[in-house]
Amino acid sequence: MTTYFNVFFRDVAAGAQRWPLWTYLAWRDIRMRYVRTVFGPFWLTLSTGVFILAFGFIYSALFRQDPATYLPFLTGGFLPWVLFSTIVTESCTAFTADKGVILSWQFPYSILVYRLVCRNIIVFGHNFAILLVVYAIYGLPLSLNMIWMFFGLILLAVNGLWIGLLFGTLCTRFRDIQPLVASVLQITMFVTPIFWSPEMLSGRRAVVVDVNIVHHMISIIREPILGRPPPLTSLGIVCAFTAVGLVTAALFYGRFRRRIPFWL
Amino acid sequence: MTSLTVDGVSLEYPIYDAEKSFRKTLFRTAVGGTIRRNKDNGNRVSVYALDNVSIALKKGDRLGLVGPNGAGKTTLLKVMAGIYTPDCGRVVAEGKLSTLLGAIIGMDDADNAYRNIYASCRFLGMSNKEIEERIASIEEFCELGEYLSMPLRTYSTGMLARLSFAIATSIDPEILLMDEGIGAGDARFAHKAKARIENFLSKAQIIVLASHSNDLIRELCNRAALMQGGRIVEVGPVEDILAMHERNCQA
Repeated sequence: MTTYFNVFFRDVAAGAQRWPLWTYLAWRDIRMRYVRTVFGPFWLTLSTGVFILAFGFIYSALFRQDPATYLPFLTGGFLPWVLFSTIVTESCTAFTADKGVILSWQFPYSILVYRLVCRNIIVFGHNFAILLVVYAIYGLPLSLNMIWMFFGLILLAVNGLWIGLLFGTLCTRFRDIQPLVASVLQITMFVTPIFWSPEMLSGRRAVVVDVNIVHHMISIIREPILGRPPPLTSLGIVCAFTAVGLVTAALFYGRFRRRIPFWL
Repeated sequence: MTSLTVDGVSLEYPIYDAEKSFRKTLFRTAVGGTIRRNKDNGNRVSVYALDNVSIALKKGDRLGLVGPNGAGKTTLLKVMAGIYTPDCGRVVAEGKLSTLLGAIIGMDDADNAYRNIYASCRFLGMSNKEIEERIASIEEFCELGEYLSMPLRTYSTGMLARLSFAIATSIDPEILLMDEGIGAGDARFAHKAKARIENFLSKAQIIVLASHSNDLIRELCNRAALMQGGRIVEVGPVEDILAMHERNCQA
């Protein structure tokens, strides 16, 4: 078992040291995705922004909410959700998408996961402009509590690392997991308070929110964005989840890392 | 001191295509007994790609790997490169290692060659400064001129071969592992590549070349190994091994 941990830590540590490589690759991925377009990476912001505005205006009416509170709430929850769900979706192809490199060079595969997480954080950065626009529209003040957002983002990034290594490995071996993950995420989007606030769900149904790890992961970013400190319960749950995830991924990745080239 | 030691290496390729789906694996565990027995019987398909291979190379060795298709030549190169981890045995490579195992450069063929060179060199562990120092020599060596500003997908196989060769040799490797040498490069490039390899060899480093071209092996190697069914059958002087290989082919 210690050998598994060793394999994992060596790979993750060696991968981290190669940050100039993965940050470069992350930026290039974004540039290449929008190559030959006029707006470039701002398409990301544009499409997410249009979605939030349209959805926000309609649903604030449907839920009988004040747009001035509903729109910041929606933006504050939707942006971390996009970050989280894209990391999970892309984790499934973390290794299969770069089959060529894995089969022609020796390197810590964690580089591919760092690049994936980094790429999505850059996207999050672009999308953050939407929040500033929403704040400007309603003339809301920016609070110092927003700094807590970075703490939440770091936790989410660490989760991205283990999810990438674990799902990347699993999906390389079992090609059925990728579509499974996609459909689970779709359901998750609707049972997680992103479009509706947790207070709207009362009684026994509230359990759905309390046990939902994605809700806690979003909360620790949304609350600071809305100018409140992160809820301690959510913070505690996310930290525990991160620890369990890291150990699981360490054991699994450590055990099966050497099999990855054969599974590709 | 540059050296490359392969010690008692065996490698079994699991073949999953026949049972890649999650459903079947679930099924297998669910039914337990019978299928477990099948597993023991070797119902799970696997191929012995390398079977107890040992070879020690030291400074100045230029080994040619010969053998029929599927003998394990490429697999051995990949094990030497650390791409595959063997099931048992070990590989110790002392010295800076570079590989030419396929024309995969910089991972994104929609991007232009310069940025792909940059990504590749980064992958090979070079710093920004080292890349800047080498870019001119890569440009000059691959003779692709204006094409270097174009997306890689517009390249012909030969052009890709030129570029991968230029990159792989630009890091001044001490150990160079090559599969089919210079691939699809044209005669002019082949000549140039040979000159570079000879220059590289004059510094007395290690080369391992797997090839079906006897001429290439004669030209570049000073030792040869004949592989068959995942084993090294014989190691010796180039001419002896090539003669042995030809006899096998005719038989």
